[in-house]
This record gives sequence, structure tokens and C-alpha cells, in this order.
Amino acid sequence: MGTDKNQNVDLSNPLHPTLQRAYAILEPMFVSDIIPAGAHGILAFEEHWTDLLATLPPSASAVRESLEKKWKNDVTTPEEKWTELKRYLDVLIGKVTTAKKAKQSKKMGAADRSKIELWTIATVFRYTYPRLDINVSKMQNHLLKSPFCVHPKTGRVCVPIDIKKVDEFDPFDVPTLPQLMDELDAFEGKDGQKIQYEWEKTSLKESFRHFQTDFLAPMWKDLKRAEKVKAEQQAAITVDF
Amino acid sequence: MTEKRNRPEGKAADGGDGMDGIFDDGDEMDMDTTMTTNDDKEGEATSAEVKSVTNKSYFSPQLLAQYYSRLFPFDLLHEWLSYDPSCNQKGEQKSQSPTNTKIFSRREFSFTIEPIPGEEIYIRYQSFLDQAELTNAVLKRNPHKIDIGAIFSHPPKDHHAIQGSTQRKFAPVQRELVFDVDLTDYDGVRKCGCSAANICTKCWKMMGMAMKVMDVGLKEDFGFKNIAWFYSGRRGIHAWICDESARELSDPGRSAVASYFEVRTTMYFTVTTCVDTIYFEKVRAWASYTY
Repeated sequence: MGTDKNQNVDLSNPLHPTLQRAYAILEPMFVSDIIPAGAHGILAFEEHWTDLLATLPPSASAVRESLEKKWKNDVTTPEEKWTELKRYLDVLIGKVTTAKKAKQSKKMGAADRSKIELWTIATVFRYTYPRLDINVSKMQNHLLKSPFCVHPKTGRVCVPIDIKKVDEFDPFDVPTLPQLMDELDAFEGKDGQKIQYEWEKTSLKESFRHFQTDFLAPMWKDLKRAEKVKAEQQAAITVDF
Repeated sequence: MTEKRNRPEGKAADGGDGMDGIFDDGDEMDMDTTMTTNDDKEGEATSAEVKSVTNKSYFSPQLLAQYYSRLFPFDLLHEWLSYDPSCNQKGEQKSQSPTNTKIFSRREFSFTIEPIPGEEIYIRYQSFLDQAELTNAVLKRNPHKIDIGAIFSHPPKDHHAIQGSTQRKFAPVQRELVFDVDLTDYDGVRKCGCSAANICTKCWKMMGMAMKVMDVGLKEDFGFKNIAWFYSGRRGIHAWICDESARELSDPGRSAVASYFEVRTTMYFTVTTCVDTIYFEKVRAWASYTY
């Protein structure tokens, strides 16, 4: 169980399957949404990539030095830099062998090799892996803001997010209270359009509908199925006696 | 770049401190708010992207009352929190199902109200027999915030009477497994210019990444199906896992699931100039899932 003793288990080689899967999800997003100039610029500006290369293990100092020198004067994209960095590290640890490096990589111990391999993963995770506020999850008796509330500091509604459309979700598109009131005022019904809820007249419609059809409806099916199973078991017991 | 605005001293500060970390202490209970001033941002490379989501004019008790009376989806909330398959889509009860009706009435709600501007009062252990009771209470109180707690052994509104009794024990019996992710915890790695409560479309991407990883992990590794994701209204996201097996998890079980998703990466970085190092040391851990 999650006691102090077995917590703080670190990344280890081979990587836990769940972290392998997380890496497969996150690395492409690290490339598209973290490293470019239009994102967080980690590999787009010299200041940032110098900081990043400085976090490499001492056993990879050769890679740091040669890339610092090389990147100073070249015009490669951040994506190309990331690929290049990974390739340099692979060569260094002997994952990819070049005739020239074959001898050198043999000298490196398993611990150093592993540390370099994990550096890449740890770097991606540092920028992208979920950082949970774990205290909220730990206790049954913990209060959490009700969905559909309005945040008093922003006036924005705590709307459901469709996980299938998570890339399209923009918090700045979430309606604020004044906007909702304007939408209610401006609404003009079309002929034959049935309105069950007032929120259907506003931009809350899509997210609330998603909650109804993609969350509530399937949950009902599950609950009904569970109830049926229970009833059948109950009936079987009754027959037995 | 940012300025701190202190709220007048009110009752919420005392209430918040005295509750032993029972609140979602990220988004909700902080007493400071950071505001981006337009002058400061001018001329910076990121100025166009950084938008302040904090603005007084977006919120007033009057607007909130309108929202509750015309738009708040009381029936969706009731339909969800009653976990009653005998409810039809309008939230009406088709057949009487006393056990499940009780689930809703044993749920703790709490309201943050502000009868005098600047003086927040937090009211815990509210519970409501049905949707109509909840609706009436919300319309009457006009709470600035509604929190949802556990399902207890008895209706929370009776908790004082029960706690005084020797035969009956007032205790939480069920609760959705919840997750909270805030961009505040990403300050060390946000290079977009945002910090604290400020967010922009660049750093919001990190929330999308978090949701994807958590959603697939909860579904594939734990077999959970009924997962609802929400925008927290400001700088983060909430997940509510509603499967019966999740609702019935013990506190150690919850810790085990949460720890499963934690990972510590600090030791792989040679230079510890990373601003977020302390954060990682404090909470990042990855324990084997053994519950």
C-alpha cells in the first residue's frame, strides 16, 4: 500500500508499461506543443536549450558540448534538434552504433547508460506528465467544487470537457456569466425547434449535451445492467431455498 | 508583472485554515488572486497570448442568481448524483427506490456564501432530500461556490444529532474518486510567461496532455468506465470517476490509485537550477500499485 517506504520509487529501466504508454502519448505532444518557438520554446532559443542540455548526466557531457557548439550556428528546427539530441545520446550509449563510436560506447557502464536513457524520458515527463494535486484524491471526505458552478474570479462555468475533443477545448471559449445572459436575450427560436432547457439557447449546449449523452446515458446502462444482475442473483437464491 | 490583491479579512480565512486540508486547496481556497495588468505585458513577446481570466465584471451576485434560476442544470446534477437507474431522463423517479433515493439525500453539499461583500461564510454538511430541495436552497442562498463531498451513512444535515448518539456512527461511505490538476503546479516548466493563476492557450496544452494520460490509464489499467472531466473554471481540470468500484474505494485504495500516477523525475537532471525541483521532491513519487 502507499506507505512512505515504497513510495518515491523512481523511473527505472525497463520502464513500467503504464509509463511506456504515457511516453508514447506525450512525446509527440512534447515535440508539437512544448519545444517549438510558438509554444514554450524549449529547443527554439539558445538560452532555453543551454538550460536543457545542462541537465544531462555528466557521462553525456560530450553530447552537451558538441551540440552546444553545433546549434549555435545552425538553422535546424526545434523538432530536428530533439531528434538530433536523441540520436546523439543513442550513439553515446551504444544503442545505435557507428563505426567510429563502437569502441567508445563499450566503456560506459550499465548504470550510466540507463541514466542517459531515462534522461530523455524524464525530460519529456517533466514538461508533460500530469501533476496531480494528490491530496484531493486521497480522502473520501474531501470537498471538491461542484461541476456546473461558476468560478467567482472568472465568471466562467465549470463545463464538462469531452475527452474525445480535448484538443479543441479552449478555456477562453468557455462562456462567462454576462455572455450567457446576452445569449439568452439574443436567442431566437427556429420553427419547430423544441427547447427543453434554457441552456439549449446558449453556448453551454454542446458541453451539457455531451455530459448527458456521453457520460450520463452510458452510466445508466451500467447501473441498470448491475441492477438486473443483482435481481437475477437474488431470484436464484430464492429459488434455491 | 503581476500584482497581488488582498481580499478584506473575512470569515473564510478562518474557515479555510481550520478544516484540516479538507478542501481542494488549489483553485478554490487561496486568498490571493493574481491579475495581469495590460501595461506590464506590453512589448513582451508573449503579450498577445497571455490573457487574464480574472475580471470582476464577469461576476456579480445578480448575474449568479440569474444563472442559477435559468441555466444551472439541477436535473443533470441530481440525475448523476442519485445513481439511480430507475430515474428517467427528466430526472423523475419512475418507481420508488428507497435505497438509491437515499444516496442523493446522504450527500454532503457545502455552500460558500457572501452575505456582506468580502465576508465569505462557508456552510458545511448541507444535504437535500431531492432535486427540488437542492434547487430551492441554491436559489435562496445564491452560493458563490457549491462543493460536493462524500455520501455519508446518514444525511449530513443530521450529523450533529448522530455524532451525539452512541449507537450510530456518522461516517463517509461512498465518494467518487476525484482528481485535480492545476496549472499552478506547472510554474517551473511554463515558459509562456504565465505563472500562478494566469493561463494562456500555450500552457493549457499541458492540461490536455494530463487528461489524455489520466483517462487512458484509468480506463485501461483500472477498468474504470464512467469518467467525467470538467474545466475547473479558472486554471485547471477535475476528473470524477463514478464507477461503483471507484465510489467504494477506501482511503488507502484512493491513495494507491493516485500514487500509481505519480512519477519522480528530479534525480535524472544534473543541474538543479530547475525552479520546479522543490515541487518534484515534495510530491512526485511512483509507488507500485498493490492495494
